Amino acid sequence: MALKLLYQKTSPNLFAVALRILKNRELAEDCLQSAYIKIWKYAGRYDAGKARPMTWMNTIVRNQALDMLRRQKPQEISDDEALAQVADDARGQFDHVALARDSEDVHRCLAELSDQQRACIELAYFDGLSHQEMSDQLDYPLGSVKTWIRRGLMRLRTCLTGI
Amino acid sequence: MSDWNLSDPEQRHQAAADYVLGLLSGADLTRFEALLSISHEAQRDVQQWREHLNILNDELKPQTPPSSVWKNIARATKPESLWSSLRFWQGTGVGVAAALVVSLSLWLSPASQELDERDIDYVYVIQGSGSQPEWIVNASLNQNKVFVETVQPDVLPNGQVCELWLMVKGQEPVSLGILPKSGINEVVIDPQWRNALQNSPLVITLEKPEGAPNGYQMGPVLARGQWTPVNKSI
Repeated sequence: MALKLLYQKTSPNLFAVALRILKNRELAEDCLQSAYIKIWKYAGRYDAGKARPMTWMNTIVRNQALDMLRRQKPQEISDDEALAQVADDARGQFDHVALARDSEDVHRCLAELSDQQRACIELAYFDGLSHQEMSDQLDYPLGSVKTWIRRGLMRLRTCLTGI
Repeated sequence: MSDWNLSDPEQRHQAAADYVLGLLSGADLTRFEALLSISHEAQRDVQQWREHLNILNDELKPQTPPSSVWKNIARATKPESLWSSLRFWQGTGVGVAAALVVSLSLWLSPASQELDERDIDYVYVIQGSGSQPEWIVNASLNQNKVFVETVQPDVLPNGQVCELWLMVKGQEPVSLGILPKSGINEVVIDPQWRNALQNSPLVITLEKPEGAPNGYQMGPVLARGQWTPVNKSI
């Protein structure tokens, strides 16, 4: 069965994406399940000429996970402790990125980003934070956050496209 | 907030990055989505950023999900009856997922691995004028059969049909049958061409309803192709 083969080949990577975004095994399992059912349903819309298969599937998982994350958010906001936790996580993000930099197999182009640039891009990509939320949680001015992201993205593009 | 000038390619490209990151909101998001629905350039920008930013996903350490996840997916995607299975299949289900697996395996296993030939299926996707596959041809050495699965074939005028051929070198072309209008055709793999199968090209010809009389008198060639090996074991 085609879907089983697809699942066997790709589920560890897709599960990693769901876990990174949701930070909760049970939710990540639900997310993965819904994502594969979507992949199955929407396979007809997949266009091999436009996207690599892993990118296409990662996008489906990420959108699913971020949707679930957004549905979780109101509870967190009503709970001061949980909010403080999110803020801690955000500040810890710089350390996390600095640690990742030490690992040898980090992609060359990611290694070219500054810690702040990569941390902010990841906070948007994996944690669904807005510019303002990042600024609040990292305790840096909104302008700095925007500049880090803008310059980080440009550096990434230059490196990946070899311009 | 920010006022993107979306007719400027550089600003449009930056807006596409913010869109993929989820940083556009309010009027900016509405404007970009409106552009996205009509502009190929904007669609291409978004796709490029999805590819660029996918390196963040690539950096994550793979994690094996528990087996319960697959069980639930299998249950949810299992056709309920033969009838629904047939209808589902003629739509966009099985066949397209198979085509996705083909392109996936091309990306995921570029290096030749040492595999038992029995673990490899050979697949040929017959693409019509649109982006939809019309038939999926799957040769299973393990089951010693070639399966021709109907996905969404075009209807041909005057009762004409398509016939599939295996072009075995130095031999009369082997007919793998008339491409079915629905369902699956099965052809038993003959020992005479079993070993040559994987390296033999495929050809599709246009024929009268009864098909070609033999491999030397085939009708006009509509398409040619090659098998793609698909690794079944991981």
